[in-house]
Amino acid sequence: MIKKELQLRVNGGLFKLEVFPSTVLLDVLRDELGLTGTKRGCETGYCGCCTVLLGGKAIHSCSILAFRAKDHEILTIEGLEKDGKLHPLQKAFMDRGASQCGYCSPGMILSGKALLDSNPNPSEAEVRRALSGNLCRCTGYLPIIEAVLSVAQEGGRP
Amino acid sequence: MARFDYFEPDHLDELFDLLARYGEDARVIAGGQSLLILIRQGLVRPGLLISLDKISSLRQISYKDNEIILGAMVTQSDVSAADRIREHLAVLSQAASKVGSVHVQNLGTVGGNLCHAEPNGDSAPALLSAGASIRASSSRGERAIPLEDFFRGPFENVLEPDEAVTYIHVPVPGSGASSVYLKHALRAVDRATVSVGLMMQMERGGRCQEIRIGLSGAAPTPIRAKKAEALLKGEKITEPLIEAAGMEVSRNCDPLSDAHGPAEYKRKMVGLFTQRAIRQLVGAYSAKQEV
Amino acid sequence: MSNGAIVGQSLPLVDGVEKVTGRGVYGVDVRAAGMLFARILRSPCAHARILHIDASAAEKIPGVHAVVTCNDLPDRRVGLALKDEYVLARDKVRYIGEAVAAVAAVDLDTADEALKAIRVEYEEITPVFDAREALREDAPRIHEELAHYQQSSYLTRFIRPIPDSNVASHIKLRKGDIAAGFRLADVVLEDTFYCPRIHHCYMEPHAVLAQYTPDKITVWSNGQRPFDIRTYMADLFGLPMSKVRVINTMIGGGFGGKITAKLEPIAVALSRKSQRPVKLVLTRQEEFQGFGGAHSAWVKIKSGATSDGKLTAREMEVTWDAGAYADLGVSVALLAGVVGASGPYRIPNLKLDSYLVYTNKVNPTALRGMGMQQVAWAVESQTDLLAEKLGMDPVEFRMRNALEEGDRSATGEILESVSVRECLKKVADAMQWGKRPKAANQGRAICVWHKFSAAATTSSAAIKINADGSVTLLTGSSEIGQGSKTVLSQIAAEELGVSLEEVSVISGDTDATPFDHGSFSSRVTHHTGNAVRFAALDAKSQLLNLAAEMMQPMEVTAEALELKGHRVFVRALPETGLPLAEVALAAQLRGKPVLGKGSFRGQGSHRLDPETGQSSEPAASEWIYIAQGAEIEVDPETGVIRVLKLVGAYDCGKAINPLAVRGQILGGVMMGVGLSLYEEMTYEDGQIVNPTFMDYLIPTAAEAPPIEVMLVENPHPLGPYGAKGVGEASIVLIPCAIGNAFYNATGVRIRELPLSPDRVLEGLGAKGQASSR
Repeated sequence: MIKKELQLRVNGGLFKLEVFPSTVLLDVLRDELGLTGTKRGCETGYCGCCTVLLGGKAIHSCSILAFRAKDHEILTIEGLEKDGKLHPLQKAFMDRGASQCGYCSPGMILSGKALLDSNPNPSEAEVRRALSGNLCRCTGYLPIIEAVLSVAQEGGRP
Repeated sequence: MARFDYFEPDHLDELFDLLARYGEDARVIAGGQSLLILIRQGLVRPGLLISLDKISSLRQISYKDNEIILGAMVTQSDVSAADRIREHLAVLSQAASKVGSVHVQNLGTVGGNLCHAEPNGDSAPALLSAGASIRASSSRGERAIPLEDFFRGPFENVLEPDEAVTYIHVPVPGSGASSVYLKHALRAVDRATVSVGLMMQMERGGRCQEIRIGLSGAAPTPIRAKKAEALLKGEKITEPLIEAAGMEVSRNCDPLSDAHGPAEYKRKMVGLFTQRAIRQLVGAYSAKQEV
Repeated sequence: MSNGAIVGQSLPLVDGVEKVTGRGVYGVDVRAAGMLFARILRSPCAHARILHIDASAAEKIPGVHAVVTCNDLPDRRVGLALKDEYVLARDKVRYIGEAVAAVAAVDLDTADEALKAIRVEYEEITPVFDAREALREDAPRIHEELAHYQQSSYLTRFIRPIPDSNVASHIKLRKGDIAAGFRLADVVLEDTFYCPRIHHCYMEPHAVLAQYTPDKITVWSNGQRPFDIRTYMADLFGLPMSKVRVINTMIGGGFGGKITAKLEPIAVALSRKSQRPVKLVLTRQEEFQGFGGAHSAWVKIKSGATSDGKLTAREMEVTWDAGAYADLGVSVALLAGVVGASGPYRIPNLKLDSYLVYTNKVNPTALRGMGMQQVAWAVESQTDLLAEKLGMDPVEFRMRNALEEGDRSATGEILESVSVRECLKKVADAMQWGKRPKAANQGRAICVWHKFSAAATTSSAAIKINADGSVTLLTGSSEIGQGSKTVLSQIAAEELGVSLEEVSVISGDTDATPFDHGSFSSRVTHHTGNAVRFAALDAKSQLLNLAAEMMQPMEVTAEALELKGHRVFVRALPETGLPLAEVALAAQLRGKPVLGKGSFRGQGSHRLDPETGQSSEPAASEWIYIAQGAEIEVDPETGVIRVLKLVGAYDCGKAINPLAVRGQILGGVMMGVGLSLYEEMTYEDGQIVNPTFMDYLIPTAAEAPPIEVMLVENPHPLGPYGAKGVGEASIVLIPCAIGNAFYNATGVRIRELPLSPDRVLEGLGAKGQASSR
C-alpha cells in the first residue's frame, strides 16, 4: 500500500496531504492536521465523539474515508470560533453546565449546529433525536438539550 | 484497520470494469456506515474498495408514472426529505427517518442498507411492503431481482462478486393505497428488535384489495409475511381477522436471539406490531371514509 | 461561613472553554517526539496455566522496538488492596482478556502484527464463571495461594479472605439477637435479588504516555488517583517517589473506572525496554474486555417488622462477583455489603454477611455508587413489599423507620447531619404523594438511601498569591469532569476576596501539587475543599499580618482586618485599607512571597470488629442521604417501561456550585436509568458477548426522561461551608424506584435487572411470579 495525495478543505483552509487510501477522516484530522478536538470513543460508529460537519451535515468522521471527504467543506470544532468569539452554542454549553468532562462536547456542539442551521426552531423531540448519535455519560443529556434549545429560542446564529 | 486501496469511478462502465477485474477481492462501498465497521472489526478483508460516490446518476431519485427509482447512493436523509416519497410511500419515508442516528442517515444509503442484509434493518421491510425490486448490474448486463429474493442469509445477499446494485425500483402504489412503518427498538438509534413495513390497498366496504407485509427481526433475513397476507387479501378487515393475521405472522417466523431481544420475545412482537400496523392503516382509512 | 459571593453560585466551569473549543488535551491527545505505539496481547483462555511465551518472532518484525512479558517486571504481586495480581500474567491467566504481553512499535498496524507473532502455550484449567458456583466446596480454586497474599498499606483496608476457597473477603456484622428479632416480627419476608454487571462507559478510553529514563519516570495519565500511580510505579521500578512524576491530562470521564492502574506499568516497562516514550490507548472493545465495570451481586434479604410498622430484624447475604482479582471489590464488599447494606433505617437486630467471590472473568472495580445500587435494589424493593404486607403506605413505612440525627448506624457510628425524612418528605410533596389518582398501567414509588464517602483519606493543597494578587492553586486531586477545579477555585476566591477569573488551578501533578488521595468516593469537595479552604486561610493570615505591618503607624492588628473585593481593609473602617495586589507584591519584595498550605483528613476507619462488624469510629468520612421518586408507565403488550418522571432530593450539605451539583446528579440519574432498563455486560463461557456500544446499550438523549433535582442543604459539621459529596449517590435509587413503580402499576415483582421489555413481558405473563435466572 502506498500513500496518495489528498486535498482536504477543513475549517475554511485547504490542506495538501499524503495519506493511505484506507485512512478514515477522523485519523487524518487528528494525526495529519493536528486537529485533536475531534475525538475517538468507539470503533462501531455509535458514540459520536468523532462528529464533524460535511457540507453542513453531521456525520461520524470515523465512518468515512478521508478520500471520500475531498471536495466537501469540512467543519471541525476548531472551526467554530470566529476571531476569538465563541459560537452561541459553545457559550450556551458553558453557561448551562452542558459540558462536564467535555469529551463529547465537540461532537454534541456540532450536531447541535447542524440541526439549528437546517431547523432554526426545533421541538425538544427533534433536538433529542438530532443528538441521539452522540453519547454522553456525564451530563444526563438534559443540560445539553436545554443549551441547544436556548440557542434556538434566542435565534442565535452568527 | 487493515489497509486497502480505494477507487472512485465516475461512470458506470468504469465501475463494471473494475468489478469484472477485481470482484473477488473488492467490495463496493456506498455510504460505508456498515462496511467500514465490518472492516474495522476484521469481519471482511477486502484488498480494494470501489466507491459509488462519484457516479452522479446513482444519487438521483427519479419519479416516473408507475415507479420511483432510487439510485444506490441515495441516502436515508435524501429519502426522508423527499416530499413525494412521503406522500406516496410513507412506509419508506418513515423507515429512512428511523435508521440509526441522523449521522448514519446522512451518509448511509438505502442501497447499502439492503446489501448489508442484516436481519433487523429498516430499509428492507419497508421496501418489501412496497413490492420493490433490485437492479443488479455488471459488465455482463443487468438483472432485476425481486427484493424478497435478494437475501440469502444473515448479512448475505445474492449478488455475484462482479455485480453492484445500481437502482432500486419501487412501484408507485395505487391512489387508494396507504402504508406505514412501525419499528420496535430498545433505543431510538438501535437496529430493530422487530419492525413491520405494511402497505394496503383498501376498497369500499372495508375490504382489503392488496396487502404486503415486510418484516425485520422475524427471521435470519428480512421477509414477506405471505401467509398472513393471504389471510387478509380480499377480505373485509375485522378485529378477529387482524388478530389471526398477527398470530399467523408469529407462527411463521424464525427469529434470532441477540442483544436486542430473545427469539421468543421477537416472535410475540412481530405478531403484535403487524396487528398494530394493520389497525393503524384500517383506522386511517375508516376515518377518511367518514369525512 | 461565606457570604455567598462566589461559594453558592452557579458558575460556569473554569475549564469550560477548553472543553467547548476542543483545545483541551486529553490522555488520548498527548504526544511526545519519537513516541511508540503500544498494544496488549490478551489471554484467549478464561483459566489456564501459562506454559511458555515466545516473543522472538515478534521482536524481529521491523518497526517493533520492544516486547514485554512478566519477565520484564519484578516477580511480585500487586493490587490496590489485596495483592493478588500481576501486571502481566505470570504462571496463570484467570480471565479471557487478561494482559499477557505487550508490544511497542512505530505504529499500531505494526504493533498488531507483532501481537499475532507472539506464541503463548496455555494449559487450560476448568473455569468457574458464576459466583454462587465458585462458593461450592468442589469449585476450581482461582487463587490457590490466597492464604499467603499480602495487603497493600496505602489506604486502610479491611480484607478477610477465606483460605482455600474463592472468597477474597468475607465481612460480617452481628448486632443484637437476630433470632429474637424475627420472633418479635409479625411479618417476615424473604427474597433474593440480582443486579448484573454494568460498565462505566466513560467516553474517553484509558490512555497513558510513559517516558522512562534510569533516573526519572514521567507518566501522563487520565487516571483518577495520580499519587496512587506514583507509589505503584516507584515501588515496581525501584525509584524514589521524587523521581516518578505522574501528570494528569484532561480526563474524559472516570466514574471509578480509571482508578486501577493496569496500563501505566505496562507502558513504563515498554518505555524502559525500548528507550522511547510509549503511548498506550485502549479500544472500546478492550475497555469492555480489560476492565470489568461494576460487581454483579446476588442479594438474599430477610426482614421482619411488627404490625405497627417497625423493623425488628434484617438478615442479608450478599454475594459479589469479584471476577479474577479483588481490586476495589474489597471496599465494595465492606462498605456496601455490610456498612451501608441494611439501609438508612433503625434496625435493632442485624445479621449481615458479604462475600467477595472470585470467578474467571475480568475483575470489576469501583463504579459510581460503589455497590450501593446493588444492595438498594434488593432492600428498597423488599421495603415496598413489607409495607404492602403490613397494609401501610410505603412512604409512611419509611418515615417510621428512618434514621435520625444522633442515631447509631449499623456499625455503631453516631450519625450526624442526617436528613432521611427531610429528603423523603420533599419528594413526597413534589409528587403530591397520595393525592393524585393513578391512570391504568402507571405506577409511582419513592425510595430512600444513604451513601458513604470513604473514611480516613487525606487531601492537601497549596495556594500561591502572585505579585499582582492573583491566585494559583495547587491540588493533587483529579478533575474528571465533576467540576473539582471550579469548586476548589470558588472556595479559594471566596476566602481570598478575589474573582474566580483570577484563580488558576494546577491539578493532579505529583511533582507540582501536594498530596491528595485522589478523585473517588465523592470525596473531593469535602476533603480537598477543606484543604483548599485551610490553605486559603493560611495565605490570608500571611497577607493580613503583613498588611497590618504595612498600615503602620495606624494601630491595627490582623484580627481587625478583612480581605474582600481585592482589598485589605479595617473591618470597622472599610475606606481605610490597601489593594490586595500591593500587599502581595510587598510580600515578594520583602522576601516572603505568600504561600499558604492546608490539609484535611476525613474522619473514621474502615476497620471493623471481625465478628460483630462494630467499630468505635465512624465507618465513613461522611454520609449523605437521598430520596428518589419515579413515575412510570408500562405498555403491557410490549413490556416497555416508559419513565414519565424522576424526582429526587439529594442532601449535599452545601452546594458550592448548584449548577455543577445538578449536573453531577443528572449524570448519576442517567447511569441509573441505564442500569434499570438497558445495560448488562453479558457473558458466554467467560467471553463478553457485547463489548461495543452497538450491543452494550447506554441511554442516548432520546431516552432521557424528565428529571427533577431538588437540593437539600443540611450542613455537615466538618465540610467546607458544610459541604458533603454528592457525586455518586444519584445512581443508587433509580433501579429500585423504577422497579417499585412498576410493581405499583402492575402488581408484578421482578427481582433482576435490567427491566428489559422481554423480562417485563415475561413477568407480566407469569402474573405475579418472579422471573428466574
